[in-house]
Amino acid sequence: MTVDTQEQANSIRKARSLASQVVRHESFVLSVVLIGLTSVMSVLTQGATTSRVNLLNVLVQSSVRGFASIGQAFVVITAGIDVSVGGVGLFSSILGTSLLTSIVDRNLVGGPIPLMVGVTIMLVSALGWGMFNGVMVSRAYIPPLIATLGIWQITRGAAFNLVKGVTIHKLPDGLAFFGQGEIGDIPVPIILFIVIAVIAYLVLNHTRFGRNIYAVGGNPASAWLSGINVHHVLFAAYAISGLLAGVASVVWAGRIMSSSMDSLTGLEIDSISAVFVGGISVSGGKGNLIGVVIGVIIIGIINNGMSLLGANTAVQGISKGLIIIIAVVIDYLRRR
Amino acid sequence: MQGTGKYLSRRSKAREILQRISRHENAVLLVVMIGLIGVMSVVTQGVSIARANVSNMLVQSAVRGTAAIGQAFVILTGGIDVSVGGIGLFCSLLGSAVITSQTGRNIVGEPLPAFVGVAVMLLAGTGLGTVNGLVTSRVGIPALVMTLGMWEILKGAAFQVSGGMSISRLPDSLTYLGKGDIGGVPIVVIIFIAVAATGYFVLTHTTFGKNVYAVGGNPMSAWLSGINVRNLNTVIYSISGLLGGLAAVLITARIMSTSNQTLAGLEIDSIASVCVGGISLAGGRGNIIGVIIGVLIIGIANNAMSIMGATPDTQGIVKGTIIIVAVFIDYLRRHKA
Repeated sequence: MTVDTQEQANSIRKARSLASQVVRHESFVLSVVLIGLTSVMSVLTQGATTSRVNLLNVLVQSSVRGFASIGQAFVVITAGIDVSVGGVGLFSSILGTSLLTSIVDRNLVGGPIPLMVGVTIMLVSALGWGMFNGVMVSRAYIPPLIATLGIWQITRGAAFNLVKGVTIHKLPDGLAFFGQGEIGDIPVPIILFIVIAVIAYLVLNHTRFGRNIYAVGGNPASAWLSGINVHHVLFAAYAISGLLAGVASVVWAGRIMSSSMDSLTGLEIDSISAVFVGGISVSGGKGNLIGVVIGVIIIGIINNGMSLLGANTAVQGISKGLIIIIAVVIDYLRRR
Repeated sequence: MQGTGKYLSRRSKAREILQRISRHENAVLLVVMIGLIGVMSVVTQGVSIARANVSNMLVQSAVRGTAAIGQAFVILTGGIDVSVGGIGLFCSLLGSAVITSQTGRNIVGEPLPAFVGVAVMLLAGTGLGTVNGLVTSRVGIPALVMTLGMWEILKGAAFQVSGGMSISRLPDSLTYLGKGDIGGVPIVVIIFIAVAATGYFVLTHTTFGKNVYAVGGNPMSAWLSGINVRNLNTVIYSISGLLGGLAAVLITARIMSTSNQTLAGLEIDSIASVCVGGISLAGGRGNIIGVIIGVLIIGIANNAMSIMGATPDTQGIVKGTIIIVAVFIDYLRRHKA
């Protein structure tokens, strides 16, 4: 055999193994689904889906969902669930906007507080609720569903009682930066989402904490016996979820420059759908962030496509439910 | 030993009886309920114990309780049914759409007799519950996810059936069911008592009931003892769906109309009642009597809050707190034994 052919054979082998690694990667199927779905939607809407304006729109709307989904991913990987995200986000949004508004009678403290203070309060309050979730799950051993369901109720009630359910607007112009601003032609929400997604990816895949999250989700008892402080890991997961709900609420408030009791409704369903579509296993311990990001965009494309096609809320609700079930069924069949 | 021979002192006997009562699971709940009634009657200045109000409260608790009995069966096997509210809503709308005489709202064109609507609601509920059960037990996906998805689907489907508007002008024959009473006790409440009694009997005196506890306690052992776990898990959700449909019948007959808000929050209420009633979420422990008391506790709390003018969101705060506290107490109790 000549040297040339040997080298050729080697590079073919390398190319094949790289190709097979890509194909075998969990998220490959998802990416194919995404591309296929986008194409189908594009055809159905006669190109409206893939227009530049629309794609940007989809990505920006997906980013809000995406923040919550990343937080949800951390929680679901630990074999938990967080159905309080919508309520936490709502509370954070109402609290923040009622402190930032220049409408004097609506303002909780009589006058608008500095923008960054308001934003910080939004983030901290959401983080606080997340930490409370974490304490309940990790220390009081309350099942995640019940704990977060209870918090969902409580945060919604608290949000209502803050301003008796009125819509708040007249917010400082600076807030719009988070929802509508651009840095070099790219919308801020998308940049934020990319940054947070990258950080989350690095944490989950390249830090000990990330490995611990998977360990706790896979088998909490073994994790405990290997010396992992399961309490701390669970607490952190829910705290992260809460914090990211706060981020979602800041971006959303910046986008619509108002807040009401309708803000961020359905955030929990959307984030849970994105997480399951993204391949995270319900029983915990498996799944990766790339899948979640793709899942977020898939749901975004579906929602967007349906809106463009004029589907009403009923159909959107039905398809959301179907998507959750089908995604989990596929995941189950794959793992058998 | 205090008191020798056959002359056990009266004090120690009283103490012994007290100890045996307090060890009984439901005694604590009963005390809580009585205490709550007392507190609420003071806070509402007697309104909560007015006869009309008590009747109202019992009717609402009966509707909630019917669904809670179904939820109890599900949770006893270690599962959960978050779709009950959606099932109730959808069944109520579907059944109403078949018997209403409102122009243009009837989906079969002609208003059918009331009992057809009732049958539709019960059948639809059972059917939807069975779907839940089949997918959960055959495909194996977690009950939480399946029922969550089903809930979303049903909320959307209900919107389709109702078009967002309420349906009224239902046949008068329903009013007997919804507002009639026998000897002063509303029929709705009587139906609930019958359902609760049946549930109690099934759980404590039939093989099926024993199997439910077995599957909840340890599914693997249950399977090894020859119990068909898969079938049992399917039937459980059918029961929950059926009772969700029955709750739909009761509330629709009561308010003689239905809308997209009907039975909203039924899933949270039924789960709360079950948790307060002492049924462990891990399954295998708890009894129907506790659930009934739980239903009443939540009913009394809800009712008192309405009287005091609390909005649904504020009620949500209390409900959420109750659920969390109840589960926590259950955890403490389980781990002290």
